[in-house]
Amino acid sequence: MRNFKSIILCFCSLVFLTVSCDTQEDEVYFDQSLLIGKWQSGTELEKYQSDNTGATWDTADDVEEEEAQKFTWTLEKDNLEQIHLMQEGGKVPKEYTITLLTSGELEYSDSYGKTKRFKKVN
Amino acid sequence: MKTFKKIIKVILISTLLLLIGVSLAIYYLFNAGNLTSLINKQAKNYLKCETTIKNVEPTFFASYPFFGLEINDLCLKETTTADTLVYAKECTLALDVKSFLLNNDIILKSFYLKSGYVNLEIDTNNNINLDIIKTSDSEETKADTDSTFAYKNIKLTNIVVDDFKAKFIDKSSMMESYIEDLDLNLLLEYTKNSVILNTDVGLKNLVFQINDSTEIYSDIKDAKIKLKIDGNIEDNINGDMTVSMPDIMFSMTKDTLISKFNFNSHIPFSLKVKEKNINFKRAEFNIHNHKLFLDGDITVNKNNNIEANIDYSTTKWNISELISLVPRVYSAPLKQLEIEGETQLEGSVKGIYSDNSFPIVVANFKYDNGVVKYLDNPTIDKIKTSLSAIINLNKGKMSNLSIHNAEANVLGNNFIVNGKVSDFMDNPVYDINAKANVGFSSIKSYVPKDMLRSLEGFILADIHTKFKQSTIDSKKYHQIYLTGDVQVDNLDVNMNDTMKVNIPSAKIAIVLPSHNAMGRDNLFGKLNFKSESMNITVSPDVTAQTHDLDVSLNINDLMEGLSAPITSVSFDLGKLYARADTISFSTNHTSGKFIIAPRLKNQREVIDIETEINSNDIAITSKDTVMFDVKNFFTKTNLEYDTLETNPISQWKPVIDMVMSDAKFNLGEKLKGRIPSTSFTLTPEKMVIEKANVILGNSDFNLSGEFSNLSKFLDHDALLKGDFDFVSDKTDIMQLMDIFNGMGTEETAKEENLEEQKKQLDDSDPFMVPKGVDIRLNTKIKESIVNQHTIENIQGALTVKDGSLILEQIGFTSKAANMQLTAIYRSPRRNHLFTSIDFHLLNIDIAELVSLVPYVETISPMITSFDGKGDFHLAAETYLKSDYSLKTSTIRGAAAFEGEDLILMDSETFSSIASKLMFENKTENKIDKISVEMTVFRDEIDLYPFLISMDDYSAVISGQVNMDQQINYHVSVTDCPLPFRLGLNINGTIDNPTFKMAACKYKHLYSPKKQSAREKQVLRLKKLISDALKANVKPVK
Repeated sequence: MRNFKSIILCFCSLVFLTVSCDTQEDEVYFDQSLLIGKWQSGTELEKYQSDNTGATWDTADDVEEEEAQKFTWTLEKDNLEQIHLMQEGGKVPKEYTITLLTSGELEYSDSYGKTKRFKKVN
Repeated sequence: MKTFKKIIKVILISTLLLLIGVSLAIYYLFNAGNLTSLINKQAKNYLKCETTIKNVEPTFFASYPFFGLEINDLCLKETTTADTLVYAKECTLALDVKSFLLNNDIILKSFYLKSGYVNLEIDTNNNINLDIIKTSDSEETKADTDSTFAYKNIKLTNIVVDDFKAKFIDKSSMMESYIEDLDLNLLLEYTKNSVILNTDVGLKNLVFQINDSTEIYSDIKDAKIKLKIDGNIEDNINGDMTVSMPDIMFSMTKDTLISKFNFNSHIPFSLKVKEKNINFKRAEFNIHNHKLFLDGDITVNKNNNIEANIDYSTTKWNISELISLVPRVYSAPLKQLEIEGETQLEGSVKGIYSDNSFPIVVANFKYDNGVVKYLDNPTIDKIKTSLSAIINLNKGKMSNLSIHNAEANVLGNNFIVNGKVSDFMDNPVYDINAKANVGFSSIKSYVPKDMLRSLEGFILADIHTKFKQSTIDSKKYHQIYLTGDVQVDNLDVNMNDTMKVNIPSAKIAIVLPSHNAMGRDNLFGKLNFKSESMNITVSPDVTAQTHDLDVSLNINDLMEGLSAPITSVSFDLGKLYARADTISFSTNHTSGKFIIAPRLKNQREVIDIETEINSNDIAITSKDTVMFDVKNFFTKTNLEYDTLETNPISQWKPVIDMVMSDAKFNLGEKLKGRIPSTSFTLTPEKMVIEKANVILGNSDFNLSGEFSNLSKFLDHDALLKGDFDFVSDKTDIMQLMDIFNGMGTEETAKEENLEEQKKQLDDSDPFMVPKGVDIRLNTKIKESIVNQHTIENIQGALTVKDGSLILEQIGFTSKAANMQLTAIYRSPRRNHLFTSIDFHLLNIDIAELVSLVPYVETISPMITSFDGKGDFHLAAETYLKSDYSLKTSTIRGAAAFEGEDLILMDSETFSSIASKLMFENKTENKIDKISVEMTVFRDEIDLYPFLISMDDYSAVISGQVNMDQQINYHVSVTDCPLPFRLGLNINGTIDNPTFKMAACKYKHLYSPKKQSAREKQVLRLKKLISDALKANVKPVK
């Protein structure tokens, strides 16, 4: 019985090892110049500037553009990273994977499967 | 005989010839035709004008023994203009020629002139038309030398003029006068030793007018003048003159001043010629039925000065009749003035009148039964006064007026004035005593009814004043002397049924001390008000009572160019009790002063105001609860008011000192405590709080510090700066929050305008941080209690700076940890409030951490599964709505926890995880090291992968939880006795999680050589979060 358990464990380990191997995906690149501008998704807006700064605000919460909260951003391949800057020094990173970026549309999703779709409003 | 006959013959012939000659001469002379012709011829030799006499007839026998002459139609005419100069219809005279020729006497037995006329005119060059006599230079010289009166006796009897007219025109002065029907009867006997004159003049009409701009015109009708003189020309002459003018009219500029005015007089007199003295014996003048009597002497002394010694008196004159004599043109202002009463004047004129001397006039004036009424003003009646005036116009002498018991009655109130006015003709000096006895009920009807319902009480005033007229004219009011006492009894005022004032007894003393010199500190007047008790009712719910009130008001001199006098008020109040609804206010032994002193600064007025209040006991009571009670209260205020300044501080330049000690307050079940001592000073530049001790509940505070830049702040030139120290031995924060919870929201709401209030009806009223201020509150609290945790040595600063409220680097210790806190609150707009927190707990016990910061459990529910100590860092920010609800889209947060040697507490969740991951479940699972980073972005809470090492097991935990408690965790087992790496996904809700085996996400997270790019990225972000949080940590002292 003990040997049986050991065999089962070895088998399972093999299975997990097999499962844990990542498959090599195709790399996707997006032109970050397309990101520059103001994007809107419902009441939520994001603004990306060429100096890699940006801001976000939600008019549903009675926030105007000049009151927007700032972030810095980088776009490498399809990985969009926003570092949201708190006014007194804290930083809140957010990572998204861009799935669509054109001159008029932006779509990204996070690692938990939440997707947001924006339209350019400039 | 023959010779005798010849002589007789010669005499007879001579006599006959003489008689013939004389007869011829008399015939020639007394022949009317010859005489008329002779006089007409001779007249041309002596007169320049054209002279015609119709007939001149001697009447020797008819008037024997006097020589008489009867002239008819005598007419003198101007040669060039042919105007009649003199005309006499009939003129008869009888002269004693013998006496005239032999004795140089003029004895005129009769003279009768009928229908005479004289036309006298002076042209614009002052030439008179009656200059008609031809004279030579020698004659003029002779006339001059013979001008002395040389007649011994004059006797004129039966001198009669009937129907005489005259006209006089002076073109140079534009004056004209006419006389109509002048009748004259005259008898004059003048001898060396005696004179008798008896004349009777009647005048039908006398017109006099001046045609210049004054346009004076007078007309006297039916005037009669009688004059009798009898006496010794060298010694004493007695006379009696009566004048009767029953109809006098006088106008000026065509305004009739008097009309139908009558004037009569009877003047008995005696004249001492040698002494040049005239004596009047009760001479009577009746001026339109108002009699004036004169008695006394007028003498021309050796120096030709007039010396008077006259007594005069009047009968009682009715003053309303006197006023009726005021010309209509001047009477308009008097139309609505009704004056009644009787006046009487008597006095004397005594002394010498010369170029440099005037007689002294004494006038005693009486006015009785007087009544004065003007429009609807109260009638002044029972006027009774006696005035005595001594008028001395001589140089260096004074004229004085004395007022003796001038009494009057107004609305039943009695007024009495006594005094004197010295030098009233030059520089009057008044010395007046006045007394008044006034009943207020009498004046009630003169106050508008809507202002006053009832007024009762009495005042008795006694005032004495001395001042010069020049003092008033030159506005040197400080030189007035006045003392006055006013006694008020039973004053009861009901203004509108609700506003009532009752003063049983009060004394008012007024003093104007009089100063010669004028200066800033010169006291002009003092007013003192004393009342044992006073009751004031503003409304049924608002009343006040005072006891032993003593108020002194000092009014200083009103200086030129200033709008108000320098005034100070000091008061001493034995007791005050005031009530407004259920709130009452009482003080004992309160004193104070108030000074307002205008002065000129750079040629404009500024006003200095000083106040000082000192009270031994002030209490505010609500029903039976003493809300506030202070035993000692002192405040002193200096203000300098300048209207040209713009902001209130610069406009008032306040310097205020306030000291209060031994105070208690009880403003509710919770808000009760003591204020042992408080003092502060306010100047235009800063407000310094020396100390403000407050004991409230379990807490005690002492606040000290200062506000600065007050003026510049109000001028918008600088921020209002404040730097305060808040020192407390013990502060029970939760109790204070409980006490002040909700306090002030009602008051704040009241300050909003209506529109804003409507807008905010559904919202709470958030705290708006003031802008333009930079205020720092340095706290030093030895011991504070928060959530039943004792926190010690709280030190840090609370700053309000230009719209931001910052709790800056507050450091404190508790048995759980050393703590550092920075918190910020800003209110850019009412519905957009910013708050952030930077919080560090060093060496914190996890259980204490959760207890102190319950929010930690919200963002990291599993934290409660650990026991032990570590360092906790938290930074978070969000915007809030006006009701302080979170704006989710703005939530940002980051937290990090680092701990070593922790114990993972046994729990149902852990048991589930351990069983699925085949952990060895012990009662006490030790964790060697843990480093957790979490972030909050909107409603997402990200738990960055962290490693838990326990015995032979290591697991990486990561995931996301949403605000709605939905979890999405993943556990990667990185080290375990098993040959493979397990992963577990935990989903669902915190209360109801579901577990699902999954691939291991982070198997090489802490194996640098094997790390994937993703794992490196995760570690980079963890470091970024951690470094950013720790950057604000201050070294622990």
